[in-house]
Amino acid sequence: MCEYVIEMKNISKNFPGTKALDDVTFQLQKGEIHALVGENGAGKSTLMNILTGQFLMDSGSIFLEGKPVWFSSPKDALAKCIVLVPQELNLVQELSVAENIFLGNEIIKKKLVDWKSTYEEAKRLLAALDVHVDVAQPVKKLSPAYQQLVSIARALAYLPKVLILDEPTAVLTTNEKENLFKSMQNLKKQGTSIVFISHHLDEVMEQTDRVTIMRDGRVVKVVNTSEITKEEMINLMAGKKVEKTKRVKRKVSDEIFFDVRNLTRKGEFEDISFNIRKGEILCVAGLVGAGRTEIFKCAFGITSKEPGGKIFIEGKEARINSPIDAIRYGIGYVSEERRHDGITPNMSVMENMMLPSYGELKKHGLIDYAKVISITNDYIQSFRIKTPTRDTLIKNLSGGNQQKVIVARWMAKGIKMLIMDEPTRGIDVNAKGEIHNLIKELADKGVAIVVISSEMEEVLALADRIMVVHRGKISGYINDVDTATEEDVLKVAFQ
Amino acid sequence: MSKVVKFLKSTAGMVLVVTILIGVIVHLKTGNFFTPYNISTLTRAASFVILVGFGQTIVLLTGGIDLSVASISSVCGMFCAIFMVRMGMNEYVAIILSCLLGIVFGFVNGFFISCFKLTPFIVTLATMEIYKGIVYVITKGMPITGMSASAQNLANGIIAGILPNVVIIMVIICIILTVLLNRSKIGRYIYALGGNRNCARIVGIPIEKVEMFAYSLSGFLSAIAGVLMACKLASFQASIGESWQMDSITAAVLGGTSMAGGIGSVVGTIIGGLLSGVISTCITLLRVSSYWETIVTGAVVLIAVLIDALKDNASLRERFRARLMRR
Repeated sequence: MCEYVIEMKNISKNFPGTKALDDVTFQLQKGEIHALVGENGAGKSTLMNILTGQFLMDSGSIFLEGKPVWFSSPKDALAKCIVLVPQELNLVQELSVAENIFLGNEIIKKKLVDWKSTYEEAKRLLAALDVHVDVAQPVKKLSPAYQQLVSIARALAYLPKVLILDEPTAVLTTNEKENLFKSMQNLKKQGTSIVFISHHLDEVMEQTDRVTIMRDGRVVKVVNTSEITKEEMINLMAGKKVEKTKRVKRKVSDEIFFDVRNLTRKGEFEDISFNIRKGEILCVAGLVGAGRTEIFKCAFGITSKEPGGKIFIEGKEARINSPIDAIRYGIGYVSEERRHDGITPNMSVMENMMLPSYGELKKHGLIDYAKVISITNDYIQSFRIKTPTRDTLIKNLSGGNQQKVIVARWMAKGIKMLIMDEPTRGIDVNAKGEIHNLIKELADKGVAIVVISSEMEEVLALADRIMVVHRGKISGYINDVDTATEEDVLKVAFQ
Repeated sequence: MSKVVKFLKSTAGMVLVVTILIGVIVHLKTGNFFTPYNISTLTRAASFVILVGFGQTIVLLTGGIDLSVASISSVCGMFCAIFMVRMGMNEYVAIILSCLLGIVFGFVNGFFISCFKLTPFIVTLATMEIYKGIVYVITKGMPITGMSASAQNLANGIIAGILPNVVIIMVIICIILTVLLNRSKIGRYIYALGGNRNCARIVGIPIEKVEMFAYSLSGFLSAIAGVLMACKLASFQASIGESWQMDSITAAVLGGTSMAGGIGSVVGTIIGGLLSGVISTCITLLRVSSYWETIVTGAVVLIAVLIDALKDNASLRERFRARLMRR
């Protein structure tokens, strides 16, 4: 009789320059939901990548139901019904929902794909997650939240013995989360073991049976979730006391910087009017898919607005038809998908920071690198960006530090307003606090700041004013943030 | 010091080492490789493809591709011959004018690609055919002979018996392009555009302008190569540079330029172009049938990109290693 479905013993893994895993032992019981928590870079993903055959371990052994196994590719792991749902969406955008769900796992009849059963099965799998969409439409038509659920459905199609969910809730709204959790509990009852990786410790506390806490490539503690508090977990993860971002009441000037009137984009949002004052932090709350990102993409000129919508900057009408225009008016934009449009991975930290400023730093028609280097060094220091050198490729930095480089990029450009979409998504607890402090520092310097965030804690800690968006419309504001709670924000959203 | 090590570890560095090694081995076997005559002929022959390769590299850096380079070379070489022979223009005016025409042809590519968001592959495939067609329509496939002696001297001249003029021109252009790519705003924009187009848009890079610039520059460089080739042969033939579009891509890729954009350099392209040249010379020196040349070149490209892929892709490398270990 074997107690553990999976037992990973004494796993070590080195990457050039770092010890990613150091003698890690991880045990997963049958039919449990097991949380794996730790800061970014603690080794959670590496451990799970080894379990699913993406990486080879340097030393150690893996046992599946007591028998030693050896995975050299994800295929091997899938064959044993060990399935990973990665954090980054991993779908073929042009293919249909059903095709994506059964990609690599097609339902075959007489050597050909059996489309009828494929569609039926896809529908059934999605229904289990309470998703009811047309499974024949291409995946790209779905919102990121639904796409995440499609990737989970794809994993379920393998009838997993072990299901690994890496940050599954990052893009989900409350409702969808509830459905996911329900499905998780159902799977557990059927005997599936689930590894749940999350930065959201509330979810960990509520949903999981046991928790393994990792730090710097080692396991620091394995404990029943009921026997530990959130604060203890945070302290174990960080290795030192972490202070939560504290709310500070700030004074904001009365001068309006950015004034939007009647902005509309069919199918995305309708008749949006709002303004932002100098030095104000305006947090935009609302459910994923409410149109928050779309409103500000339009305001920044990435997408075009429909006639009638107007934008005024410092009282004068501004013509913003492209990001180039927006930047000329002193607006910067930090997108929600860092890898997709935030960074140029193969360029150095310095270049990623200084790209938009090259135009102003010229000597004899060429870039004045002396100045560029000194500005870069200043920001690396003042923003506490952890990077070996300014010439290190940005892809080798952690998410938090990449984000700081992106913020520095706009500060170096001398902008007056910064739009930040989910500025701390996928960033660990410590770096999160640092980014929050950075945002406040910038606002104190008079920069108008928009923070679009799905994390209520973040919104309540940062905002001078909260704007709530629901189904493409502004459903209300919360001006007195000091006394507001998460419930208040939700009430405004649904009123 | 570490810079040297870094260079040797790059694709271009490895290709350079291989190129020199091949030269040494062939020299030891035949004693004919490192002679002034061989080196000057080899570098001169390679310079034409390298010049076209520069343009190709710049376009590849933006994440595009230019299949029309060879046709632009041909059409500009033809205009140069027409200006000189049929219209009796001063040879230097004719050369400069026909090189500038290359910018126009390149700009047409850039215009369609950036303004209408068409795929570079398709647009340049179409213009390749069109430009090639223009040559045949105008010349009816007949050569244009009788170019002036000074034009011939420009392309055939050799300084001190070892340094051909064409190589000097190529090196000067390489220096200018390196400064442009590394130290000017537009140069960095070219890398940023190929590195991540979405990010480039958000940081306010004028994508359309950068793209048009890259294709125009590619047209200009192709034209220089075509015009010089026409001068070298003292006559224009429609077949000038027929194979250059693929040779230029080969040179760029062997020089470490990524087909996905954002990574590469023109210095690398020189090395890549030299390796192709060395391979073809060595095949002649070793008296192997020249029919083998393309097979060897193809195999070298395949090996180079394979090494590159293994170098950059950790999981691929691991799987490769695992497979070897199991054996």
